[in-house]
Amino acid sequence: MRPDLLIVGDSHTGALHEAALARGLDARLLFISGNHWHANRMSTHKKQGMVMGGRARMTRKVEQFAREAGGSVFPRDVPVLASFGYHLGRLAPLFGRYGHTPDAQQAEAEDRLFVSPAFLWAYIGHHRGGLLRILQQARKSGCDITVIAPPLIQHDPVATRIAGVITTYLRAQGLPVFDPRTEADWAGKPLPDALRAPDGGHGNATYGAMVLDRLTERGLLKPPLPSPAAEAP
Amino acid sequence: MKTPATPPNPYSDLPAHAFWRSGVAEPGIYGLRDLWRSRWQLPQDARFATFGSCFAQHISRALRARKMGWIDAEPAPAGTPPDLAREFNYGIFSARTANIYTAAQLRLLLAMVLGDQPAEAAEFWTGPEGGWRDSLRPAIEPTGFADPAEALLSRRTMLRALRRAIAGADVFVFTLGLTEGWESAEGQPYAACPGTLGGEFDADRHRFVNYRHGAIRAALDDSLALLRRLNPEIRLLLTVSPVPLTATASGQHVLAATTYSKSVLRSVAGELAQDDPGVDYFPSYEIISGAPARSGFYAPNLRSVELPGVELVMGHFFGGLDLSAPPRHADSAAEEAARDAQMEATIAAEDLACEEHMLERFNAS
Repeated sequence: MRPDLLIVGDSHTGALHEAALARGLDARLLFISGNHWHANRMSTHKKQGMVMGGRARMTRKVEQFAREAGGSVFPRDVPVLASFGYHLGRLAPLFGRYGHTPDAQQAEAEDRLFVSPAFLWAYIGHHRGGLLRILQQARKSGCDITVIAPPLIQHDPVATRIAGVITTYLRAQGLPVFDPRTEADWAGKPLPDALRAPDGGHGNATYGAMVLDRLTERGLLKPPLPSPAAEAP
Repeated sequence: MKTPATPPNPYSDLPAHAFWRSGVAEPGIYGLRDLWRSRWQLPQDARFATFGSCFAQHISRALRARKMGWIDAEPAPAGTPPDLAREFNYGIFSARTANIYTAAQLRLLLAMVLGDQPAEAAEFWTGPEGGWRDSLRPAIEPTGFADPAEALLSRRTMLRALRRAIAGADVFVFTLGLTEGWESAEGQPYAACPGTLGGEFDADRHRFVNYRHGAIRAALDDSLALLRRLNPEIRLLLTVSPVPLTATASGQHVLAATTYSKSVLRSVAGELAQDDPGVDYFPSYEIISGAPARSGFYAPNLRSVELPGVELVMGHFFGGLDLSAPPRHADSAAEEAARDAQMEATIAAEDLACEEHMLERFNAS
């Protein structure tokens, strides 16, 4: 049976999936560790939407998910929430390993190595270009896809800049992006404890529900169509 | 008939390398011996900071390839692919100074590092295709900076890195490149003539200079004093780039202008090394451009130095170093290792947390 919602991404999918299930949606989850997303193991695939190379078990997992979703990870008739493309917990520490920052204030205040926006963009392009292309192709193929950026867990100017660059780029490409960091009530503040999962590093189901509510309010997530069984007299 | 014995004289006991026949003509370019011996006993883990004109890049690269204590005080961010790092001029010199062609430019940079000159003391230019350029390193970013403030931030970062490179170095290797350069009316040296890589040439504001021996000596003396304010124990190893001038604005033929330029630089370097035990001269210029090489190490453009020449130069460099003093940088190496381990631990913790978070969800359901 056609699912109501597909959720694809890293560990930040958890909150969204829990919230979707709680509201009775037939939400299917394709969870792949942020490690694999970060390692550029994914690439675009015309029919299946994306493929994963290098890990047989994970490759089969993607293929099976695509089959169950109607042939593609990003089908045209089911909305998709995509929580991938950022993976800041991997990228920001790597970028900052030798003390680099794209943040002018941090560079001066902490004697860090300032890096120009032009370089930052090229760096992100190298590490995330493949994932951003998957998202763009999904959109071009007619998929009703919305990218969900990760919440702000702790203040980190490097992660904030990287997230900002990715969000800005995706929006410029015409992709709808829900970025909690640009929400009026959440901007510039770490996610409140009440909205955090027990591990402290992710949103919880309440947070997920708030995200789904906001997506629905903005028309980015439409209520599911009644299933054929429900329509039957 | 018996040859009469030559009475003892200053030449009679000299080694083979003191005579052209036995030192050069007979051994040939690949047989040169004792061309250079460092005058210093350096620690086993000696650290080198490399700057100067483009030939200095080869010294950086060779030191790094041998894992020999090359200081990279402004590296590319971890995870940067090599071609991207090179495009943005990371990893070329010990800080992102780009080529420092003249002694006057070195002096200005060091004065900025020490705060004797403000970081704003050098101009920013608009680039030929938009963007802003640093007049001290106009090609440091492939498309320039978004505005002068961003260019200044980058320059300040470079100056801090230059300070760290000097503070952490046992040897500051500087390759002298040119006597010719351009200055503003106020005396600011430029890395390139305005109007070539950025800015607009204004004959009333920009002047050509062909620095003479005395001016270069003064700039290097000042630079050495500034270096010692940052690191009293630092040693200065001078080389002269064997790469000829691309063009001359002196009015001379470029061949004559090149010979003049290199001769003056070679003379200043030699004199400074004679006068100061903290200064040495390494003869890379002689190896590449001297008669034994018969210009064979130059590329067909007769400017670029090809790999066999670079390898020969670096062979003499490493062969002449004396790294027999006890190591002195063990603590900082341990600090670096600890920093790396901390970053690995941060990423590993992130991986673990993410995996466990998802597993816990399934457990709860």
